[in-house]
This record gives sequence, structure tokens and C-alpha cells, in this order.
Amino acid sequence: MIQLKNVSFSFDKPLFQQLNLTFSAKRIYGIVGADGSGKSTFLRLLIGIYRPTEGKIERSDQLLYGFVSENMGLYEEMNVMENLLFFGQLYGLSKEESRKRSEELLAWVKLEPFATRPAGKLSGGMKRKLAVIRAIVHQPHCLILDEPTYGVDPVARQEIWALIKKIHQQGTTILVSTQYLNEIAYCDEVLFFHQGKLLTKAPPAELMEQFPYRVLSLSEEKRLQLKDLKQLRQMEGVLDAYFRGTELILLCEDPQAVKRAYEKERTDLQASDWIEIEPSYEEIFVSLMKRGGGNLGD
Amino acid sequence: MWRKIYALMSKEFIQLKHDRRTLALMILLPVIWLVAFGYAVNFDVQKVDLFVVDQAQNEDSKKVKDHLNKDEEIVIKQQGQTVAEAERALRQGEVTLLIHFPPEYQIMAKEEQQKLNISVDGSHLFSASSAIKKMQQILLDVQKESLEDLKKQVQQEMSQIALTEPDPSSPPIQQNQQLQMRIKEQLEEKMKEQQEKLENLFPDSEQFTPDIDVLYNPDLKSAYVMIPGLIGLVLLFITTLMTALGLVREKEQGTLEQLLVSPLRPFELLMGKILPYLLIATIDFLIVWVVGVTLFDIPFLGDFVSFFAVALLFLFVSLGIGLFISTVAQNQQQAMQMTILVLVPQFILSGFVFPLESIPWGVRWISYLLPLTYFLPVCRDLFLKGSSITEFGFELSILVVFAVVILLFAMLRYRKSLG
Repeated sequence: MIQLKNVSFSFDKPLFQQLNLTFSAKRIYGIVGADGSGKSTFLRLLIGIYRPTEGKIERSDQLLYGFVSENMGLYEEMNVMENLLFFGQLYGLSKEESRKRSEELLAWVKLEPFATRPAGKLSGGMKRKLAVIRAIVHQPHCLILDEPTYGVDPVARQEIWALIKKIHQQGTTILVSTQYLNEIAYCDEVLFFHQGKLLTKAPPAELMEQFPYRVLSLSEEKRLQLKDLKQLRQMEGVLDAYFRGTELILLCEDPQAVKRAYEKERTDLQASDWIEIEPSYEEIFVSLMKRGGGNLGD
Repeated sequence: MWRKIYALMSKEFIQLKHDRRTLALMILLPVIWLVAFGYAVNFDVQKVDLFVVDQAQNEDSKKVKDHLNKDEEIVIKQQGQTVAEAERALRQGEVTLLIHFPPEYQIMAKEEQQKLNISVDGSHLFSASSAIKKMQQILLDVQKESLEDLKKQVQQEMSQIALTEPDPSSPPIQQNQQLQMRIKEQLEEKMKEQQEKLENLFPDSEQFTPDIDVLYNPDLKSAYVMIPGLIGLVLLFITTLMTALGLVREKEQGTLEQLLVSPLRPFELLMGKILPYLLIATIDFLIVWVVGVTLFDIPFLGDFVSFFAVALLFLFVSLGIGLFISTVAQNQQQAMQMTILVLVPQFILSGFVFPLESIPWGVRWISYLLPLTYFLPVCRDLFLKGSSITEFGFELSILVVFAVVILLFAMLRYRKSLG
């Protein structure tokens, strides 16, 4: 459906180099990365707002897009229905068709009671929903969403993902960027970006299977005694050590070797203080980033 | 194509409907400016306050004061005996004009100490120049009148000498009577000659004052000049500002991206964004025109259709400026500042308020780079002189060049900024 051939893009500094990618129809693609990793620029490149500095992007004939930017791009002073009607007509629907489709979509996301409310006066979650249905009012083949769950409460996040799934079930290809790594689970395929570089593109299950490291976590009472992350990182066999919330995570190839080495150097901790846990998408992301030469900082 | 443009235009009007303040600004601004420029910004001073110090208290000073009292625009606000107290009132702004009749004052003064002393407060520019003009007129009238009086008096005295009849009570002596008659006839003849000489010596004051025929604006009203010019200013402000803000607002709200990913082509986007403001500017144009003609009684002697066509040409220039600003400005505040930056020189230097001839060349060259400079004379002459637009070949050519160059340049930048 969309094919990138040797695409490079510079925006003040080089961002993407020689990307060769294919996006197939009716799949959900997750574009994942931290702030400033190039997710939004990549989506804008796909949709044609930016043009590649090198290479080309081939799209299927008469491919219709729907796009929701991070700030949603709603006309805040116009009411919900006016927003939908305008975009319907902009995409070539007649006034009647546009109204019928808007009413259908409003019922779909249960926003009918708010049809006459100015978009600017909706809650954050409602605004996101409106932005999503506004982007599919013309029934596009491909829906591109730039961080649709950013800054939204967990309940609204669930609702938005339910809506995305529903749209996908109707045969729409979805490209969605997010910085919430747990949202990867909803995607058929994931693209990890870091500092303008594409680290990998693979289905989440494959990423999990191919994860080459083991993950150790330190129990809570012991964690408090440990302040020197640098020392941990420099130990042989350790890929990285970092805090995830209040949890201390250690990525390594051989947990037993690490435990033994640690016991030799530090008398205050014992090997049994380390617990091995299942890797999460965050560990996958960190390991990919480390292998890609990136740095998350302390 | 037109369906999409229509959708975008409708959206602009819906936004305006919700944004009442902007809508009010666009409709009320021309009305507010009309009132301001038609009534408030008026260089015709209606009333001049005067302080009179009359140390002469004679016939002549009384005559001048009578004239002053008769005048509706000059008001004798205070009278006093010393020049010092009058100067204090002038300094404190209580009066604009001070008249001092010295003790030996005479209308037909022959010496310095017999002359009238007049002081004017120059810090009130328009009042001062108005007062000077008014006083010159009044003093001229007084002098004319005095001259007429003097003439009549001389004529009367001469005719009395000439018409003196011989005393009938004296004893009639035939020879003497005949002699007397002859002398009288000769005397009368001489007197007649002298009167004719006198007539030439004292010309008729009505005749030596030239007739000034003020054409096109007989009462020299400021509003007659201001309001036709205001049409240009309103068109320039509304279209430049609204076009600039319209696109920048889309950029700022992030809605421009939504429009860019839609099937809307750059030309359709441009049309959809500028046509509504073109329509509103046309309504504003009609408001100013109708109010000017009806409320301010400004004669419109030209051809309305050609006037409208020139206004439309000028509108395209303003739209081009607005579009250009929208491609440069990053947010609405910047767009507003840039619009003001473009507007203020046009207000000051285009001849709207101050005549171009009074602007020194060091600055005047800027005037010739401003579109309003070329629109104003067309506007004023079409209104007041009933000129035909064919008389303004030069101005119209310049406006066409402005419209083409600015619009082309703005559209190139616009395409680049979207790309």
C-alpha cells in the first residue's frame, strides 16, 4: 500500500537515512519512540506533508488518508457537528451525505449528546474521539494517528484503543505513533525509532522471541542501599542498568555470572537479592537502542 | 473544485459567526473610523476662545469688538486690563487667542504704538491657524468698513462745500447774482472732477478683494477629504489583517495540516481563505460609501461601477500583502504586528492625513512605495470632482503592477510555505 524506497530526510539535521519499508493494507503499525525520536516527522513524511530529501514514497492509486495530529487540529470554536460536516464536505461528500455519516459516527462513539457543543469545550478524551472520527468521516483506506493517547487518562486511553481496533476491523490500515510501550501489544507490527534512526520493524511477538537478554530486578529493600548505577553498568556481562519507576532493572546475558560477580565486589548484597523477571517492551526498546548506539542517559 | 472552496468559505463564516468579536470588529470598525474621521478628526476648528485687553476704549476698538462679537466662531471668553493676565490665560490654555488694543489704538494706524497686538497659542496647531485666518478676515472687514466710512465722510464734506447756496437774504444785485451763479457752476464742475478723482483714489473695497471660488469642496470640510480616503484605509486594514490572520490561525491551531492532507489543492485553499474576506471587505466598502454619501452628505460625482472596479483592484493588492504576511508570521501576534507595521506608514505617508507635498523628500520616497498613495487620489477625485478613471492611467498602472507583483510573490511564498 505504501512503500518507501531509499528514503532519506533532513530537517535541520539528517533524520532518516535510506529507509526501505513496506506498509501493507489492513494492519496496525505502531510507531514507537521517545520524545524527539522522529515519530511525528516520519508520519508526516508518509502522508506527504513533508517530502523526502532523497528516495521516493510510492502509494497505491487513489489511497485515501485520514490524519489525526498530536494537537488534533480541531476547530475549537466550531461545534462537534460543524467540525464533522466541514471535513465531510471537504472530502467531497454532499451536505446530506456528510450529515448522515457524521450522525452515524457520533452514535458510534457516543458523542451524540455533544453534537452542538463547541469542540474546545469537550474533555480531553472526547476531543481525541472527535478528532479520530473526524479523520474517518470520508472512509479512508489508511488512518494515521500521531500520539492519540498522549496526555489522556487510562480509561480514555482504553476507549481510544477500542475505537482504533473498531476502525481497523472495518478494513482500515492504521499507523499509530505512541510513546507508551505497553500499547505495542495492540499492534501487528512495530517500528522503533530513536534519535531519528529506525531501530527495527517487526511484529511484537517476534521482538519478544528474539530478545537476547535476561532481566534481573532488585528487591525493594535492597534497592534503597544501591545508588551507584554506573558501577553496575560497568560490570562484565551487564548491558544496562536503570530505574523503571521504583524498580531497578538490570539487562544481562548470563544472570548467574552477574550475580556471582556482584557478590565478589559487594558484600552488602547477595545473589538471592536479584530476582529474574520477564522482559517487557521497555527492555526490548532499551536493548535495541543500546545495540543501535543510542543513549537514554541516567 | 468549487464545492471544496464553498465548504472552506462556509467554514470561515461559521468561525466568524462563533467569533463575534472579530465579526463585530470587521463590521463596526469602518463605522467607528467613519465617526472618528468624519466628526472627531476634524481640522475645521469651530470655536476659538479669545482674551481681550482694551486699553484704548475708543470708537475704533469698539468697532473691532463689535465685529468680534458678531462672529460665531470667535468667543470673547475673558476681558481684562493688563497684558500679563491675558498671557497667563493663554499659557494655561484657557484661551487660544489674545487681542491687545494699546491706549492709542487706531484702525488706520500710522504709527507702531497705534497697532493692534495679537498673540496666538501655537501649541494648538489647528486652532492657532484657524484663529489667525479668522482674525485676518475680521480685521480686513473692519478696515474695509472704515475705508468706506472715510470715503463717505469725505464725499459728504465736499458736497456740502459744493452745494452751499448764496444767501437769499443778501440784497439782490443783478450783476453779482449772475457772477455768483457762474462761480457756483464752475465750482460744482470742479467738485465733480475732484469727486471722480477721489473715487479713483478710494477704490470700492468690494472690488479690490478678489473673489475666491473654492471648487469641489466649497466649505473646505475635512470630512469631504477624509471619508473618501477612509475607504482605502478600511479596505487595506480589513483585508490585510484578516487574510494574514486567517492562514496564520490555521497554522497555529494545527488545522492547516488537516487541510493539507485533504484533497484541497493549494489554489483552492487560497481561494477558500481569501474569498470570504474579499466579500466582507466589499461590504465594508459599501458601508463607508453609503454612510459617507448619506450621513456626511459627501457628493459622489463619479461613476460608481468604475470606482468599484478600482477598489477591487486595490483589494487584490491588500490581499497580496495579507497573504505575504501569513507566510512570514509564525503566530497571530506576529501577523498583527506585521499588519500594523504595513498599515502605519500608509496612514501617515500616503497623503491620507498630511499632503504629500508637505513631506520632506528624505521620507517622501517611501510614500511612493505605498499602494494607498496611488489609490487615494483616484478615490478623492472620483468622489469630489467626478473624474473618470481614464484620467488616472498612471495611478492605475502602478496599482496593477503592485497587485501582480505582490500577489505573485505572496503566492510563491505561500506555495513554498505549504510545501
